[in-house]
Amino acid sequence: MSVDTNPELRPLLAALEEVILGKERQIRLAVCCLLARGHLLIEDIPGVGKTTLSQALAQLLGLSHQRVQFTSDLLPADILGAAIYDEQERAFRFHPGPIFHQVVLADEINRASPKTQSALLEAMEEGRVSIEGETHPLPEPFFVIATQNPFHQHGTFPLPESQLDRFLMRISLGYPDPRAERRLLAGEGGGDVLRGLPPCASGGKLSHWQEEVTALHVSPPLLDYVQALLRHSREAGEYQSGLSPRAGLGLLRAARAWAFLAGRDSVWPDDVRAVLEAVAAHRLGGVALESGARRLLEAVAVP
Amino acid sequence: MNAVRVRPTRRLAGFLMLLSVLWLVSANYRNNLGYLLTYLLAGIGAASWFQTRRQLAGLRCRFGKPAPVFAGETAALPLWIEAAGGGRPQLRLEVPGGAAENLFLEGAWRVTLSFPAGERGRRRVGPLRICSTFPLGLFRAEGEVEGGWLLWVYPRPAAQAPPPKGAREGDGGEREFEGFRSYRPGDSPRQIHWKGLAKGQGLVTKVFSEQGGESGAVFDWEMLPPAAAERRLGWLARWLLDAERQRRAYGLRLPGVSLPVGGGAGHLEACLKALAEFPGGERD
Amino acid sequence: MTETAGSRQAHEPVSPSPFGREAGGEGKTPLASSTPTPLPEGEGLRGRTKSAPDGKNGGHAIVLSLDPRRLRFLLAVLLLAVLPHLWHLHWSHTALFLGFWAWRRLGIARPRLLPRGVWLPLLTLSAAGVVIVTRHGAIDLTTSTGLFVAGLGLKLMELKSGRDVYFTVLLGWFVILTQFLYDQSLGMAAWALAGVSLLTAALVRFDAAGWLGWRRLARHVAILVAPAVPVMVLLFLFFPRPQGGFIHLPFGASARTGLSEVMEPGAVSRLAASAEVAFRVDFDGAPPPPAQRYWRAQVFWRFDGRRWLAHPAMRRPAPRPPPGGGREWRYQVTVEPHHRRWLFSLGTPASIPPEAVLTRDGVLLSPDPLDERIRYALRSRERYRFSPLTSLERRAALQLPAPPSGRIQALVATLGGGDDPEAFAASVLAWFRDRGFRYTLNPGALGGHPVESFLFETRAGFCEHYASAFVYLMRAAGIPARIVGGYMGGFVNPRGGFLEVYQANAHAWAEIWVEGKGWVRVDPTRAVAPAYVEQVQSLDEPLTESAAERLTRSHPEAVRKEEKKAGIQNDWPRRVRILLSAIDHRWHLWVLGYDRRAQARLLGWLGERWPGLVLSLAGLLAWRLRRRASPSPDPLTAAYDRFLRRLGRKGLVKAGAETPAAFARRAARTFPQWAEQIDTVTRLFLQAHYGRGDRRRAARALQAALRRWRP
Repeated sequence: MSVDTNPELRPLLAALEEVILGKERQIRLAVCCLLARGHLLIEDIPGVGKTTLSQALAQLLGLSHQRVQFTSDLLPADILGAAIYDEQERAFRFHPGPIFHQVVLADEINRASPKTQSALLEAMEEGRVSIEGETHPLPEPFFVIATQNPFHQHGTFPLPESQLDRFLMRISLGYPDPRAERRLLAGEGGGDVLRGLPPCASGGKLSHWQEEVTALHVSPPLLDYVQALLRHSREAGEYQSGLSPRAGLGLLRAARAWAFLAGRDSVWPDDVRAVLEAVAAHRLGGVALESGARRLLEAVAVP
Repeated sequence: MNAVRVRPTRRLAGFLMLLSVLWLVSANYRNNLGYLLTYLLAGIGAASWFQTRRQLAGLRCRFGKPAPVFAGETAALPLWIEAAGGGRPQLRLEVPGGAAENLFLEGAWRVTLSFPAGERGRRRVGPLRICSTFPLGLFRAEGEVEGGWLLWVYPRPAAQAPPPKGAREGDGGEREFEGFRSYRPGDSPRQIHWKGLAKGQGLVTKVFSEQGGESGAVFDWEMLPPAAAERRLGWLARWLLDAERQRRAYGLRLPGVSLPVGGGAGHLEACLKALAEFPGGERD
Repeated sequence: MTETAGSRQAHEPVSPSPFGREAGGEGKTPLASSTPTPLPEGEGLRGRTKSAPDGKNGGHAIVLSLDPRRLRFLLAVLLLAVLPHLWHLHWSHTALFLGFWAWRRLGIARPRLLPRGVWLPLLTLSAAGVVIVTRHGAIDLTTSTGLFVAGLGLKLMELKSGRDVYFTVLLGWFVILTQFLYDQSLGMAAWALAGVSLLTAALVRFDAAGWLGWRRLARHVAILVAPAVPVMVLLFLFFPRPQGGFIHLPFGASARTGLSEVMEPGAVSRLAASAEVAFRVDFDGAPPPPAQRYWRAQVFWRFDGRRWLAHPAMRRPAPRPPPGGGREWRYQVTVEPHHRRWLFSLGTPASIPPEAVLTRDGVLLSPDPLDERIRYALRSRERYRFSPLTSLERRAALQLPAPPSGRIQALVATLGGGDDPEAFAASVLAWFRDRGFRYTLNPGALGGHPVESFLFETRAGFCEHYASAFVYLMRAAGIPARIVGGYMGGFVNPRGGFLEVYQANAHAWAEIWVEGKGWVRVDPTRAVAPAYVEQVQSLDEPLTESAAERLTRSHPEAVRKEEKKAGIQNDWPRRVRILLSAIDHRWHLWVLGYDRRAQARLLGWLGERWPGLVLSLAGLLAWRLRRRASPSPDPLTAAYDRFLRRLGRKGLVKAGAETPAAFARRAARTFPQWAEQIDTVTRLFLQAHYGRGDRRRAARALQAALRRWRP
C-alpha cells in the first residue's frame, strides 16, 4: 500500500511489519487505534498471530504489559485484584490484578463469564478500579487489546453489543498471503523476532503523539461527511442498529489518528473511509459485517 | 424512502367537473371575471400537486426494533419520523394489514404502529407506506419505506400444556482438584489455599480441572407426546415461559437445534427464537 | 374519518431530533425491548389483543374531522361568499340562505336542533316554492341563482362527512361565479379573491390531521394561490374563448337606470339622483364643450295625453347617417349594462358602429339587451344636413291626442304663433322664465290633463315636464317637434382623462324642425334653471338632490361659490372617488374588455415576435436551472467541479462516494500524461477544503492551474 507515513512512526511500523508478516493494513489500524486512545478487539481464528500482534504492540511501544488468558472460571477479582490479609503487616493489602498494566492482553475474552467480562470492560471505561471502598487508578496510557474467537463454541459467551461498543476498533488478521506465508515458513517473523527487538518508543512519546492526534484539524465538509455516514446508517434501514453518537466520535478520533499516521495535519475523507470498517462494522450488527460497512461507504457521497 | 408517486384522487374528478362548469358559464355569459376565477382555481389545483408532493419530501423515517410478540398478538412497530423544513399537517402511515395512523407531524415524533402479528415466524416488517393528500385532497402522494428490522413472532404459548415429562435432566458438572501452584497476580481468591497461608506456606493457588455445565431440564422435541407440530411448539413455549418464571434452569432440543441448559431473559429469547424458526412457520 | 383518542396517545413529540437525543446514551431504551412480557395466563393474552387498536383500514388518506372549530370557520367563509347577493337577489332568497345558515350555526352547539329524516325533503320543497313564487315563476338567471343559494343553505343542514364538506366548498366556489353575473367591478373581484382564498383555506384546514393555526394556514394558502396567479393570467390571455351565448337565460334583475321606455311626466313624482355610472367616453383629443354634451338615446314621438312613446316606424333602421359638417369628434363609449337596447351618442351619430343599428330618428340601438358591458367607437359632427321631412314624419311630429284646448290656443296666440319656429321657441322659453316656473325634483303628481295643469297651475317640475310642455306647445303652434331622452353633461375624470356620465345626468329635451336647418335642439329646462343646467353640464360629480334644489332657487354665482366651498371641504373623499373611478374604467377597458377580438390581436402581435420571445424565455429558464443546479457560490467547489467536468468530458467520472484523493489516483492511472496537473489540482482542493488552507486563495490558485492546463 502506497500510503505516506509520518516519519516519526516509521520505525515502529517497520518493526511491527518484521514481526507480523504481510499485514501492513491491520498493523496500521492497530497502531491507529492506540494513537486514538481506543481499545482494540482482534477477532480471528487461532493461530494467525493475534497474540503476537498484541504483544508486539506493547513491547515495541515500551509499555508494561500483562497477558491474561480468559477462562470460564475466571472471576472478576482475578483481573482487578483483591485485598489480601498480610501476615507481616497484620492488615489487608491490595494485591493489584493484571489490569494494572499499561497494556492488558485479554486473550480469548469470550471464554470468560459475562460477569468477568463486564468487570474488565467497566474498568476500561472508567479508567479505575474500586474495591472495598478504595479506588485505584489505572496506569496511563492504558489499553486493552482483547482477542476473541469468531466461532461461538460451546461454553463461550459472545460479547453483547453494548460491550462491543467499548472497543474503538475490531479487526481481524486473516490468513497470510502466499508470499508472507512463505517467509513465515522460512522462519521469519513471529515471536522469536520480537524477543530480539528493542522498544521503538516510550510511554511519554506515545502520550505526545496522542496529544498531536487530538489537535488535528477537522473541517466542516469532513464533519458533513461523517454526519452523512451516521445518518445513512440510521435511516437506510439496512442495518440492525444505526451508528451511535459514540460511534461517530470514535470514527472521528480514529480518522484523526489515521491522518496523523499518514503525516498530515488535517483529516481527509480517505481517512474516514480507511478506518470506517474497523470502527463501524461491529456496531452496525447483522451477519455480513464487513460488507455492511462497505455498502455504507458506497452509498454516501463525499462532500 | 423510495420514489414518491403522486396520483389523482376521486376528489380531483369533482374538481375538474366544477372547473368545466365554471368555464362553460363564463363562456356563456362572456364573463371575464368568471374566466379569471376558473383559471385561478385551475392554478390552485395545479399548485396543490406540488404541495402534495412536497409533503413527502424531506421526511426522515427510521424504524425502531419491534418487540417480539406471540402469534395472534398485536405487534407494535416503533418508528422515528422527522420532517425537515416545517411541519406536515397530514401524513398517513400504513403497514400492510395494519391500522393506519394519521398524524400532524411537527418536528420529530415517535410513533408506534400496531398491526396483527400473524403467524409464528420471523419476517421483515414493512413496507411502511407513507401518504398524504394535503393540502386540498386532489392528489395523493405515496411513498414506501422498506422495513429494516426483523419481527420475531413466537409460537403462541398453549393455555394448557401437559406437565413437562419428557424433560431430560442435564448433566451435573463436577470440578476436579488437580494440584497446587504458586500464586500469580490475578488468581481468584476462591482458589487460594487459605489453610496453607495460615500455616505460613505463603500464597498458593489450587488448580481445578475444567468441567462446565449446570443442571436443569432440557425440553426435547422428540420426547413430546404425539401432536401437531404447532401444538407441540405451543407446549414448548408454555414450558419455557413457566420455567423462566419459576427461575428453573432449562435447555431446549429441537431437530437440528440444541440449546444448552441456562436461564435469564437472553436465554429465554434464544429458545423462543428457535421455536419461531422451527420449519413450517413464516419466513421473510 | 375522525381521529381517535387512541391514536393521539401513540404520538409523542420529541425535540428537537431523535438522533440528538441519543447522545444521552439512553436513546435505545424506548425502542428496543427484545423480550415480550411473558404471559402466564391465557386471559392475559386475550386482554392484550383487546386493548390493541382495531385494524380499521380506511381506503384513502383523507383526514376530515367535523369538529366545531373547523365547521365554524367553514360557515363563516360561506357567509362571506354569499353576502354580496343581498344586493343582487330578491331579499327572500338571501333570507332563506341566512335562515338555514343560522340554523346550522346553532346546530354546532346543539346538534339535536338540526332537521333530519322527512324534514329535509320538506324543507327543500318549501324553499324552492318560496323562490319560484317570489319570482312569479319566471325562468331567468335571478330565479336560478336564488334557487342555488337557497340550495346551498340546505346543503349546510347535512354536513356530515368529509365529502359533504368538499362538496360544499365546491358550491361555494360556484357561488362566487354567480356574483360575477351581477357585478364585475374591481371591488367585487377583490371580494371574490378573498372568498376563493378563504374557501381554499377552509378546505386546507379540513384536510389537516390537526388544527392548523392561522399563520400556518395563511402560509399554506399563500403558496397555493400565489403560484396560481401567473397560471391564471396566462390561461386568461391564451386559453381559447368560444363565442359564448350557448344558452340565454333572461337576466330578470330589476334594471336601474335613469331612462325608461316610456316617458310619463305626470306620474313620476320623484326622480332619484343616482351617482351610478351610466357610461364612460374616451375622446380622441379634447372633449366637446359642456354645452354640446347632450347624449341621445331615445326619441319620443307619440303623445297620448299622459305618456310619450316611441314611434315604431321611426325605429326602423336607417341605411346611413345624414351627412354632417363642422367639427368632428371621435370617441369610444363604454356602456354599463342597463338591460335595455339603447346606446348613446353625442348628438346625432355620424357613423354606425358594427354593434348597433341606427334608427330613422337618429339614435343607436343594440340588437340585444345590454346584459353586459359593451364598448363601441363612434363619430359625431357639429352639424348635419337632414333630408326634408317625409309626410309620415311630419304627421308624427305634429301629432296631438286631441285638439288643443282654448287656453292653450290662446297662449300660443299670445306668444306670437308658429310662423317663425325659432322666434316662437324663444318666446315660449322667455314665458317659462318670466312666469314663475320652478325646477324641482319633487313636483308631485299631476291631475287629469298633465300638460295644462303644469302650464297653468303647478308650474314646477323637472326636465321631463318642461320638455313635454314645450313640445306640446310647439305642436299646438304647428311646428314639428319631438322629445329626446338621454343624458346631459358628464364629468371629465382628471385622472383618467375620460368623460364620465352618471345616472343622475339623465335628461330630456326637445328638438324642433326648422326649415333649412333641420332638427334643432332646444333645452327648455335651461330657460328655467340655467345655473342648474350649466352646473350639470360641467359637473365635477353628480349633484345631490338638495344641491339641485338650491341651484334652482338661488343666484347661480352664489350657488357656485357655495358648491366650491363644499367641494374644497370634501376634497379628500372626492379625490379618492375620482381615483377609484379612473381605476374602475381601466379595469373595464383592460380586464373586462378583453374578448375574442383582443385575444386574436394579442396572438397576432405575438405571432410576429415569437422567435424573440421564445429565445428570451428559454434563456431565462436556462439561467434559472443553472442557478438551481449550483446553489452554493463557493468558488473553490466551483473550480473543482470545473476540473471534474473537464475530466468527465474525457470519459472519467468521479463517483459520488469516491474521495477526491482516490479519484486523483484513478485519474492519474488513466491519464499518466496529466498526473502532475491532476495531483496539483487535487492537492490544492484537499488542502483548502479539508485542511486549514485559505479557501479563496486556493480557489484562485486552482483556477490558475486549470487555465494553464488545457487537456
